[in-house]
Amino acid sequence: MKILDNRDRVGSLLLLVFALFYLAYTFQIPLDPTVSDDYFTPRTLPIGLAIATVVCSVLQLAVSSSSASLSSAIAGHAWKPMVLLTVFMLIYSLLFSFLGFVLASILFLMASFTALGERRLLVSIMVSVGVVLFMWAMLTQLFELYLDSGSLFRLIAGEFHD
Amino acid sequence: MIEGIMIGLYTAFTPTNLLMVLIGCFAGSFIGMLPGLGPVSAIALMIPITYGFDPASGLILMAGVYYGAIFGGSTSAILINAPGVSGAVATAFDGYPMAQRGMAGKALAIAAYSSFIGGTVGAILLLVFVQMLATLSLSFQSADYFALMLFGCTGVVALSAKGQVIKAILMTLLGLMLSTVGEDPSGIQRFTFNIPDLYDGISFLMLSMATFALAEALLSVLRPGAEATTNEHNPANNKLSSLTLTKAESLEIAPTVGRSSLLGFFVGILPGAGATIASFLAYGMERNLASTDKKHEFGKGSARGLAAPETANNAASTGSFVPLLTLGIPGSATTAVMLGALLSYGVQPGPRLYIEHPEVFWSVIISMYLGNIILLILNLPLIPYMSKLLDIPKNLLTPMILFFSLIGVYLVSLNTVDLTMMVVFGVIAVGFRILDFPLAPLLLGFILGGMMEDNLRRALLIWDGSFAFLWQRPMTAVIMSITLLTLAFPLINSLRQRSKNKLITELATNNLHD
Repeated sequence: MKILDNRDRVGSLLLLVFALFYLAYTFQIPLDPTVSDDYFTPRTLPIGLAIATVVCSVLQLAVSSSSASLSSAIAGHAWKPMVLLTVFMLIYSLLFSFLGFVLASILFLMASFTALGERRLLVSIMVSVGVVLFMWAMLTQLFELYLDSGSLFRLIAGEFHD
Repeated sequence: MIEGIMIGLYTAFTPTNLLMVLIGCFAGSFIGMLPGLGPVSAIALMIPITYGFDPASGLILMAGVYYGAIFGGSTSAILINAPGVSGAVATAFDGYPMAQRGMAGKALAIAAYSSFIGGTVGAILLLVFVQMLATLSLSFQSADYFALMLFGCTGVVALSAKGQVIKAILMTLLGLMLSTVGEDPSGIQRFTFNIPDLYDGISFLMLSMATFALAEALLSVLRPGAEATTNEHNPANNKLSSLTLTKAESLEIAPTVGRSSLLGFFVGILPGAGATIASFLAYGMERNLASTDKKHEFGKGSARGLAAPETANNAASTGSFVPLLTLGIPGSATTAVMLGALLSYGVQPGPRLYIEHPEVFWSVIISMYLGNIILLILNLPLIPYMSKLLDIPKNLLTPMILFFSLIGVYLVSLNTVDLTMMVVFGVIAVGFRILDFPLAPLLLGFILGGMMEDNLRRALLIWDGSFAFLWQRPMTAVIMSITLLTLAFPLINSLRQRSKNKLITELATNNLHD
C-alpha cells in the first residue's frame, strides 16, 4: 500500500470519491415540472461542479508529488489531547440543550483545561466559571440575547414552582 | 454639493452625533471581536436602541457600529485566527501568522492604519462620485456578475502555494459543492437528505469557524512542537512588538493600500459583491504583483498580505453605501439591515433621498469619515490590551477559543445541530490540513457559490440558454479574459515546473545507477 502513502494521492482520491457520490446524488434532485426554463435546472450547477472535481482529482492524482509522505505527516503528533477535545466538543453540543449554556460550558471548559494538562483545579474552576458567567451576563443582560437555560434547569425550576 | 457637505458637517458635528459615532465605534469594535457577532448582528442589536432617535443620529450611530464591527472582526482574525465575518477571512491569512511570530501589535496597527486609509479614500470617493457611481453600478448585469464571481474564484491562485494550483482549484470546487446544499432559488431541496437542519444550507459562520478557528486550535494541540516555537514559549511573543511602522514598512505597504482602496471601493459599489470579494481580490492582486521573493512571504505573515484585504474591505464597506443611499438597493446583508432601519424612520432611500432628506444623506457620508478617525484614535491605544490575549497560557487559551467559536455559531442559529456539524467540519478541516490541501479556497468557493449560481441562472434566462454572453457582451468578455489569464499562467507554470523536477530526478537516478 506504499502507493497510498502519499498525501496528494490520498487527498485527491478522497475528493474523487466525494465527487462521484455527489454526482450520483445529483440525479436524485427533483425537477420542478412547472418550471419552463430548461436551460438551468437545480441539477445544472451541481453536475458541472461534480464533473470538474472528477477531472481535477484525476489530474492531481496524475501529477501528485512523490515526496509528500502521509506516514511522516501523521507520525509523532499529540493525538490523544486532540481526540479528547473533539469528543468534549461533541458531548458539549449534544448536552447543551439538556444542561443549558452555563452548566454545559463550565463543564466543557474544565474538562478541556484538564485534557490539555492543567492540573490546578482551583485555576480551572475559577477561569471556567468566570469566563462563562461573564459571557452569560454580557450576552443575556447587556445585549438581551437568548441563551438556552437547559431542560434540566427548567425541570428543577418547575419542581420548585409546583 | 458644497451646500450638502455643509449640511452634513453641521449635522455630524453636533455634540449628540459626535457622541453617537464614539459610542458606535466602541460598541462595534467590542461586538465585532466576538466570533459570530459581525456587523449585521451589531447593527441589528442597535436598531431597538435607536428607535427614539432622529434618523440622522440613528444612522450615524449605525455607521459607527458598522466600521467598529469590521475592525473588531479583523482583531479576532489576527489574534486567534477566528474570522467571524467573511470580510475578515483574508485578513487572517497573514495577520494570524504575524501574531504567531510575535508581531501581534504590528499586525493590529497595520490593520488599523490600512482600514483608516481604505475607509478615508472610500469616503472621499463616495463624496465626490456618488451619483456617477450609482449609474455605473446599474450598468452591471447578471452576466457581468457571473464573470466577476468566476474572477473572484481565481483568487485561489493567490491563495495556493507554489505547485498547488490544482489542489486549490479542487478545494474551491469543494466549497462550491457545499454551497449547493439546501434549498435552491426555485425552492427545491438539494443534498438535504430530509434533514430539516440542512434545509437552509450550511451556515457560512459555522464553516468559517470550523475551518479556521477550530481547525487551527486543534492543530496547535496536535502539533505542540510547532506551537512551542511560536506561542508562549517564544520570548518574542511575550513582547507586544512595536506599534509604529518603520519607514521601510510604510513605504512597502503604501502602494498596496492605494491600490486596494480603489479596488475595494469599486467592487463595493456593486450590489452583492461587497467586502468579501473585495478583500480576496485585493489579496490576490497583491500576491500576483509581488516579486518572487515577496510572494513567498504571503501566508506566512506578509505586511502587504495583511494591508491589502484590510484596506479593501473597509473601502468596499463605504462603497456599499452607494447603491443603498442612491438607489435604495442594499448591496450587502449589513446595508439590508440598515435599509430596514431607514424605512422604520420613515426615510425612503433612493434617488430622492438627498433631495428630501439632505441632512440624512450628507451627515451619513461625513460621519463615515468621522468614524474612521475615531476608530483609529480609539483602537490604537487599545491594541496593547487586545494583544494581551496571546499571553494566556495555551492550555487555557485553546479551550477558550473553542468555546468562543462554538458559542459564536450557536448565537446566530440557536441550534445545537450546527455545533455538532461544526465539530465534524473542524475534524475534516484538520484532515485536509494534514494532507496539505489549502482551506482558504474552500471558503472562497462557498461564499461565492450561491451568488454565482443566481447570476448564471439569470444570465442564461436572458440569453435564452446560450453561453454566448461570455464572449459577446463586452464587459463580461473583458472580465472573462482576465480570469482565464489569471488561471492559465500559474497552471502552466506549475505543470512545467513539475515536469522539470521529474526530469531532474530521473537524470539524478540514472547518474546514480551509472
